[in-house]
Amino acid sequence: MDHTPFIVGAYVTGALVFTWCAVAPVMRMRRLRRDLARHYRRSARTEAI
Amino acid sequence: MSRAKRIFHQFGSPPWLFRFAGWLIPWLWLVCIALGAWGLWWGLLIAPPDYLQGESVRIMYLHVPSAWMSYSIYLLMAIFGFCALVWHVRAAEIMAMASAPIGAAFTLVTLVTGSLWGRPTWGTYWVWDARLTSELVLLFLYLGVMGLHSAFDEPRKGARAAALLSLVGLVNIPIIHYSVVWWNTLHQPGSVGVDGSSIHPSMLWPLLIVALAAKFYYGANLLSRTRVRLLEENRHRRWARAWVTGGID
Repeated sequence: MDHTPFIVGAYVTGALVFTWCAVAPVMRMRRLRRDLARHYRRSARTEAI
Repeated sequence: MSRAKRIFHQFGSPPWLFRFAGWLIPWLWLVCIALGAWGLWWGLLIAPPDYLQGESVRIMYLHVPSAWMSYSIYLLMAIFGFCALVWHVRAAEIMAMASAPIGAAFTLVTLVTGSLWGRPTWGTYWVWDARLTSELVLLFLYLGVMGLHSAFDEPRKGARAAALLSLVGLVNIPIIHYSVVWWNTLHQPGSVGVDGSSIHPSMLWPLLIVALAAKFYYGANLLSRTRVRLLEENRHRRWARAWVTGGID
């Protein structure tokens, strides 16, 4: 029995799950920072008026 | 104030924790990648195949560290949850909830890689064996904690309920660990313990190096998620505004 597909399958699954798990908070932080920067700019403009 | 008490209080301070995590995360990733690459290179290319299982034993270098992490993270999540419930430490509450998705990821990888290892070794992808079933229950517990946390409109109430569930779920941890001793299972008993190992050093060392890399992965990922949560909850504070607008890290 050739074991290569099982080994490759296991490591590909691991790489996908762990990469997604690591990248998700980074993307969330980037989005949050962009949204907050927009919110702060808008509120600063409102305060100035 | 004693040094230990001061450190404990610093951890409770959101701006301090946010900045400290921001400084520490790149170093944790660096060590994680270096150790992971070293351990996997050793395990996949240098270590010998098993005399009985052949090449399929190479799945061990991913499966075993993931399995260790799956219940270690649960234990830590419950400890953070306990600190949050008893001492009302907000940082511990955030860290408990941030641990759940990471633990779920490790548990999922454990189940999938175990299944892929089981096919060439046992002749089947899955059996309702005590070890496999208790590990599946662990995945459901993680999903339950995450679901309960997001089910409440008020995040603090959700976090408290989820922390309570994580404490109740602790009962599953000794069941996972001792399942291979208590019941007659298809899964082999543990090969690495505090009193030594039955694995040859040529295979044991890469396994331990990958296991160490997994701990750094958890640390870096936990702090990344903690930072997001801290910023979300403190968006109206001056330090959060200063960081977002000025990029002060």
